[in-house]
Amino acid sequence: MPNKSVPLYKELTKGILKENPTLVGLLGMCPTLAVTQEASNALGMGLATTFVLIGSNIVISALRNVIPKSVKLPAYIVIIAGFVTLIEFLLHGFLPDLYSALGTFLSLITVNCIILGRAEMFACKNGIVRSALDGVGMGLGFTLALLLVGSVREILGAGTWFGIQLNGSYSLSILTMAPGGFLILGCIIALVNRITKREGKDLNGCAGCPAAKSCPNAKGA
Amino acid sequence: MREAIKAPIVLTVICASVCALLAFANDLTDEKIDAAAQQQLQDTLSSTFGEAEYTTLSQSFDGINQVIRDTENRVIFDITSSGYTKDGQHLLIGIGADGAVCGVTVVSISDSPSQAKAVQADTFLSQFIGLTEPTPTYDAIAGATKSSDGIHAAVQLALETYTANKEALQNAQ
Repeated sequence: MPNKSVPLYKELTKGILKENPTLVGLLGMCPTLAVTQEASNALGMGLATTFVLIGSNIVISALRNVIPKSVKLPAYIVIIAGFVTLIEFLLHGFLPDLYSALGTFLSLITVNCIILGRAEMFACKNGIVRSALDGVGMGLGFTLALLLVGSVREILGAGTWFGIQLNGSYSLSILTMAPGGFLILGCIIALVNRITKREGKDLNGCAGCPAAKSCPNAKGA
Repeated sequence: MREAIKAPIVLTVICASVCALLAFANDLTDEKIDAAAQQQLQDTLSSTFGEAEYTTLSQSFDGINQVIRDTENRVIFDITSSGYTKDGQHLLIGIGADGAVCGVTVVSISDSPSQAKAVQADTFLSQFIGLTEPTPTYDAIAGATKSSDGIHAAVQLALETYTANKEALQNAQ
């Protein structure tokens, strides 16, 4: 159900840190690890995803009372794929270098679970303005997370930042490879958890059981 | 029953609207995309084979987009090949007047950024330079095997086409 008591600015800011889709929700891991060898690619992918997220959230929110439940998922996918193809056309025509750099991951924005997740969890239950703000916030959060991971990997892994050679830098080439991506992402997630004071869930006893709330015998849940 | 009719109608309308929007976007960006692709091709030609006068030959061959010849009588094959993405590699394979490969370069590639970067490295592409006939074996890059295969297949195709049509290509206008 839509929660109209939440101030509009919170819809915008929640995705940046508190509910960051990548660093807190752990969604969209595939592009996060795949395109963050360089900060410029990370920024490009983040902005392209933000565009799709905002557009699809607005359209899905506007059509939320029209789309029958039985065709909800295919309708969302068609809308999202439409925006992805649109951004592909625009990048191919106006920013061919970025289009080439993002390669196949640009098309794969269609199946990015952040976009489908926000459509299913937020846009189909809220108004256009809130959905648009949610899209902007989540998109910014995703972009910042990618930029952060990409910057750390590029600076420490290649000794450059946005392609600019940094003087006196020491490069650890493993960080530009897949294992380095996991390491850096893990460290950044730990840092964000520390900042937001999130702690791991106690999985022992009744508190760790998903059915604890409805269970009459649950202790301390 | 009402739901059974409404659902496909709504989905059809959404699909049709998205198609119309994309047709409009395609119309809007089509010329820009062609111009950008042409510019990219020219830039790649100049950076790999040097500043020269390039002529597109009228001959057409299976699997080859176009054949270009320069003032030094080098024949450059413009080939689309497949790596991890079908038809995702746009390559230029140059063959010198002596019949040996004199340049292999990637105009654009749609595989993942790391695979694309790996197969564009000089250490990989240089193994094809100097080949005068198709060779079944080559050194692929681990983690980018299909991308490597796509480039190898394009070099093979260029050499096969050149060998079979050498005179026609050298004398063509």
